[in-house]
Amino acid sequence: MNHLTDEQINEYLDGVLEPGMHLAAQTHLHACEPCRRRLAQLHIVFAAFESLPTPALKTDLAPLVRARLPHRRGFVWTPAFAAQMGAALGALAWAAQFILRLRLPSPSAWLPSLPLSAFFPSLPSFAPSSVFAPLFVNPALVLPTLLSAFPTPNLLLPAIYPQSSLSLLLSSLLATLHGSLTSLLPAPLTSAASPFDLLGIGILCAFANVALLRKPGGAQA
Amino acid sequence: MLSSDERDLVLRALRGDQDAFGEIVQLHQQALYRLAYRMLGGAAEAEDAVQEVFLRAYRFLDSFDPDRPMGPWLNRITVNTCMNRLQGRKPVSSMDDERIRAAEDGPERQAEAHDLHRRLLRELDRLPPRYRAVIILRHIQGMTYQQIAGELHRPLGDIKSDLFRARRLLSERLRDLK
Repeated sequence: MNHLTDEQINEYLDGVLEPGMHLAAQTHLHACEPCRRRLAQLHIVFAAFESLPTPALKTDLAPLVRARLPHRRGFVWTPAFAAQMGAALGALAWAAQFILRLRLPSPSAWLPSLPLSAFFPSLPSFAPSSVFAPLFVNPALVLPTLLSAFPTPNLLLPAIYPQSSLSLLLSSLLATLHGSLTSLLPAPLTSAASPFDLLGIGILCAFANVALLRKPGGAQA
Repeated sequence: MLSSDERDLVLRALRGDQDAFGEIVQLHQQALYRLAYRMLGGAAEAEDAVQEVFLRAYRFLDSFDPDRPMGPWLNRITVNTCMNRLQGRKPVSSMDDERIRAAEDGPERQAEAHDLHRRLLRELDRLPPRYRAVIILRHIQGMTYQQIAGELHRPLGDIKSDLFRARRLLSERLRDLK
């Protein structure tokens, strides 16, 4: 006689055998003393475990856990901290310009000179090497460079999506924003050579951080 | 599916509301304590482990889907936390089974039941952590094979294999039980 396997005995005990298998196992157990003994032994042991009293927690752990929770809060940039960050970035830019002058060859030697108009015929010429060259003279010029270097946005979108009225609408909005930004920013930030323009960038980034990263309730995951 | 109250608590906790997380602790602490107690064999260590579970849950709350029930997720953290504590630890007989008592029995029956419980707990302590976890989840928490596999994130075949081996070990060691 083939005895029930370990798996069959266990699954019979747990009541998870398929109906056909369950009936076959039941029939076998009726006729097989050793398998009945094995099943009975398992049953006794596990009935004993299931009878173990349930331990009850006597202490409320909530206050203990709460006392150990780390604070989750949004990182708030105060104006003082933003000014410090801006000054640090300015100092970094001053240091960077010396390193760049020492380390890199003239940008026209290695920046691509392919004009953008090769891909978008309606665009004016755009040669990255000449546009970004001032940055390698004075890295503090990053904001004025960005503002003046690229073709104005009202040219870009219609060039890429010429048939789209949505692109015309968006390009007009962007042109307005671009023009407003250029006219609203103080002169040192839009024109030449001052490390204080990075201080301004730092302050702008700080307030953007506050606006974008702060969540309701003042907390951030 | 998470009840809407519990879902609300989870969302509030995600936004940093520590009171909400405190309520989550109160909702689940008993169940997790029972599991940790059986895994670790002691009240003090179980309380400590459950606190650690909730701290981990708070740290990884961002990875929890608020639309799913929290119990299985917390159970999994509890089992893993307890198994980490048990790794390399020598089996220790529970000193807290002094508190175990049979209900409404006479002194002799109480003593017999107490001895049986001590022996069961001792044998449970002797099992390797993996086997102990599946035995506790099946026979004390009453979970099905599939639920255990889901809770422990392990294949069903592995769970069944561990469970059957653990049962064989326990029934051999407790052969004289009637």
